[in-house]
Amino acid sequence: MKLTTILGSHILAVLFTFSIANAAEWSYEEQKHWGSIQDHSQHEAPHIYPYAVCGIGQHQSPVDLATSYASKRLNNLKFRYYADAPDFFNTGHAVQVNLSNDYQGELLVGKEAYPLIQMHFHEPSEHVIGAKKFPAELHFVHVRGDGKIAVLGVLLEIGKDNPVFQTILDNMPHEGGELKQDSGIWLNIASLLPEKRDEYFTLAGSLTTPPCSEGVNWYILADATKISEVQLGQLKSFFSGNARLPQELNNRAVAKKK
Amino acid sequence: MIVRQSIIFLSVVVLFTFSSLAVATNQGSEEKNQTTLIINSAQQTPQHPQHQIPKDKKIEQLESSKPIKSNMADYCRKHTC
Repeated sequence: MKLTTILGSHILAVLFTFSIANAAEWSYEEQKHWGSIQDHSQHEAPHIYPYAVCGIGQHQSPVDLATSYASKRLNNLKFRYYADAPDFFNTGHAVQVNLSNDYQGELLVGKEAYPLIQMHFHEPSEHVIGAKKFPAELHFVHVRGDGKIAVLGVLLEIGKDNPVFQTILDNMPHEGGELKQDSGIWLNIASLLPEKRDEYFTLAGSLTTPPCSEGVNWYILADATKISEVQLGQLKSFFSGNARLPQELNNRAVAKKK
Repeated sequence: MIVRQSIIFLSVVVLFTFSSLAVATNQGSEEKNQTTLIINSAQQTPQHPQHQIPKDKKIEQLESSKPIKSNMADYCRKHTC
């Protein structure tokens, strides 16, 4: 009986590994076709196209923020971002920092708290303001216990170097899929935010990577964080062009907190 | 008389033990065959996933193709989100 149990668990482990290895691959070069990428391990119609929402979703991100309307009735944002010794993760698509499992930092939208889970970078920016595209964009991903997601977008522009960003670059593994755990390196997360944090754009959108799931609350700070030209070059040495193009608003309105 | 009964008793015990061993060995052999079949089906999964993947595995795959799920935090640690 024990032998059967052990063998069974081994077989399940092998199958689980197989399912991860079999996940449908995607790239930024073919982003216009994300919706039609097929998962060949699936044979039932809805599951053959795991990223269909990328193609047919009506509330996709990123967007052009230029058409925003000003509003004073929006919630204030409060950033309870504490220092942490995170994991450094090269996802194969972006430079990512995973906060530790017991991290207490969170974003407060009015009275609603969203725990901070991870941060990652896009080069160039994904959100644009009219014709203006920023050199890079940082996403703070927050996930509540019920699965509700809020992403804080911080646009990055060229200026003086940012020491915390430098620490991230210096500790990031160079191989895609490589995770640097238990480094013991502490980051002052709040130092990645711009000084002015009270004005922001907001709308309902989606994940900007496949499967492009909708129902994500977006908050993009109006002010940008500065990084140096050298740091931007270092970011590009990891990933260049890992940004989804702006998507149609489709009757959505972008509000701007003044 | 006592000797004769003892011989009969011992014979019964030996026969019982032997038959139990034979049944156990046969069951082990069947289990081994079943295991081999399961491993084979796992190896064949890439060609015929619809028919070969066990029920538990199917649930796992359906969930992995549905990103907004209860353990979204874990998903977002493993993916760019």
